[in-house]
Amino acid sequence: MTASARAASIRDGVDVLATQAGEFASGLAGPPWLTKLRRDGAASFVKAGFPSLHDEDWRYTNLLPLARTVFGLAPRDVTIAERTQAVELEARLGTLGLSSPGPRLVFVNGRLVRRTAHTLPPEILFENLATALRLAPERVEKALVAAPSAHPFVALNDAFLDTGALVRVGKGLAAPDPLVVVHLSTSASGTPAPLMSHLRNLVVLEENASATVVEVFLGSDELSFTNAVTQAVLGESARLTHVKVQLEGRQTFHVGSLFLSHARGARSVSHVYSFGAQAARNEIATTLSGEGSGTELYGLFAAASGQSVDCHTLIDHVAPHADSLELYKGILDGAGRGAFDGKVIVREGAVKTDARQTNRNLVLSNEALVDSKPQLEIHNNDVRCSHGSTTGRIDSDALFYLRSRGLSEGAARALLTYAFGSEVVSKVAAPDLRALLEDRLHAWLPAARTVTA
Amino acid sequence: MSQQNLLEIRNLHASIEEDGTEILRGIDLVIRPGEVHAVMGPNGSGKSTLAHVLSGRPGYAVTAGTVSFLGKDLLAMKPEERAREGVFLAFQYPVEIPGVSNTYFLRTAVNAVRRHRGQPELDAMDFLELLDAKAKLVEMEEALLNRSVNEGFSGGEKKRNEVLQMALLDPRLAILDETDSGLDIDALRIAAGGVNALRDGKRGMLVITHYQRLLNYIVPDFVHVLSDGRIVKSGGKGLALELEAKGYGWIETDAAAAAR
Repeated sequence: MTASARAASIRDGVDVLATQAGEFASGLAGPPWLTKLRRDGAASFVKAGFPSLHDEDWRYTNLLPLARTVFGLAPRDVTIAERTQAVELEARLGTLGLSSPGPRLVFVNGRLVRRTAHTLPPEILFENLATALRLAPERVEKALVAAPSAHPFVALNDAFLDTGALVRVGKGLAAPDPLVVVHLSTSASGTPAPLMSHLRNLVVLEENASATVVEVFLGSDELSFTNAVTQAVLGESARLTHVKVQLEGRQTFHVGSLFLSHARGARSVSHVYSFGAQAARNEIATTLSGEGSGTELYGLFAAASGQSVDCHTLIDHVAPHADSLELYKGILDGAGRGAFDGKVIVREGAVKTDARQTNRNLVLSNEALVDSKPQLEIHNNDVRCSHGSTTGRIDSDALFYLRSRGLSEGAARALLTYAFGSEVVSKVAAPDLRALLEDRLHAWLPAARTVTA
Repeated sequence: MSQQNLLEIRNLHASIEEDGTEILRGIDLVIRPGEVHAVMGPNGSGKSTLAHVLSGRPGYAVTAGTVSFLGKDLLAMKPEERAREGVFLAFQYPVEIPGVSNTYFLRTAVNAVRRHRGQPELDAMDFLELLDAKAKLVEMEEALLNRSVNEGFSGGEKKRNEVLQMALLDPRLAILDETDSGLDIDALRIAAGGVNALRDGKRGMLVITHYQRLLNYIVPDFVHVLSDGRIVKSGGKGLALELEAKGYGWIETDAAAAAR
């Protein structure tokens, strides 16, 4: 095991990151707005620091272990060792069913390591954000500076802004295959500190454009820190399906944010599957600012002993006649911890809003813990809104029913746990992706068997 | 001669685990292969508790007595072991299990039992063939096989699904817990038809019912009357008709008199 340096205090940890950000930015050229964005990001992060458990929005996420660890950036060039590890990790996707030779960008510790040869029309852009920042930065400026820098991890992401996936689909076009972005975290041999990566993905769909974007996070079992921000800007009547699959190793810290904005009539569907990492926080903020726009958020998170997974969603109904549907499910086993914190805001002008939010959690052991905090904030009367949250154990009648038909207790528990999660997985339209997720859910299930009632 | 008894219940006492209330107060019952026994009795007499205790449902404590199934100690077995050994309980209230397809569930159950019996597991194709044949027995529509287990099924469909499971699992002893409850006459006829098709001279059955009506369709060899946790009267199928005509009152009075 690599000995990792400890920051003397959280304050020290913040200062170390600020210094790293300064060094990082000074090594990069770019237009003044970009330099400023990075510098402002670092400054905002220094000002805000790591959120603590006293912050209402962070009360379920213990960042102390993250804040006290000193992470390093991988050197600019990908090493042979990383390349080898990347190939091995990516091969896992093949066995998971995601082997289709469609468009794919593979990043390892924050640097592009591979892209599949694919033929997309010139109006569909799918490439490294860093390339766009060098060749045509003015084309991404507007979107990038619009990210909410008040968020400490977005600010930190701004400070290190360079690589990630850039998707742009021109007016009226549909990306024919899912655009797959793979983020790998590995411990590159030779680096003294555990690695961090700050990825920025930008998805721009013009009027009537449509695309499916899949982000997969995979990693080896060493300590690492992933801070990913994805911004998706949907033009009028655009359609986006965004799938995030978080399967990182059991020592990884993962903070990921997805921002969705909708013009008139735009629709998005988001899927979050979070099974990995030591501590994972999945955030989504979706703004329905276009009339008649809509969003569907589906999430499935699972945590066993030594893991915590938090899902935070914000659905902001700004425009009238917009609809939102949210279904999040959590499965907690062993001493695993999880949280669902979902807020729906319906603004004064957002009449005829239709918003439905559901969170259900399944607790498989006495030590597991899950917090659920659904919130509705409604500022006008002409709406249809509902929300509900339940947390329960495996139904004892169903368990006995299955056992009375010959299934062992472990098999019965696994089947019922699978059934609980499969409701969410079934919402994924792409068959190979659905198969991958069903497989991951299955792979997770043996944990359900270790528990005795 | 001496054909082995299928089920042998001796002086069975059982209580509700939570509060210690004694429900079964000394049951004695022997079922030989091929026999169909009906257990009748008023509400609260312990009929369903008997079914639950025999199938191993958690929540009951056996405080005295023995139950042997084909010579083995049934009470020492887990519910799934009883099922694999050949005890089947048709539930009074079959459980809805959203998210588990009925067909998948049935195949998993069949293969769990086949593994135990040393038979090869059935693959999806072979199983569908078997399922198709058995589904006809209870007039089960294909749509119900593709839905989640019992989810949104009518009362009759749920009971038919129980009989279908029984046909698939091919038990040595079938316990039918109030299979007639909540069924109209057509649904009852279909369910009973399925049960009768499974009477083969070897399989034993324990039919638990409040009303004599079911026994017009599933005609028993023996009828036992349960009252206050004990079998207070046993007889042939005629006893059921007598109960239908006179109600349970006279039995309870007789039993009380005998106890005095």
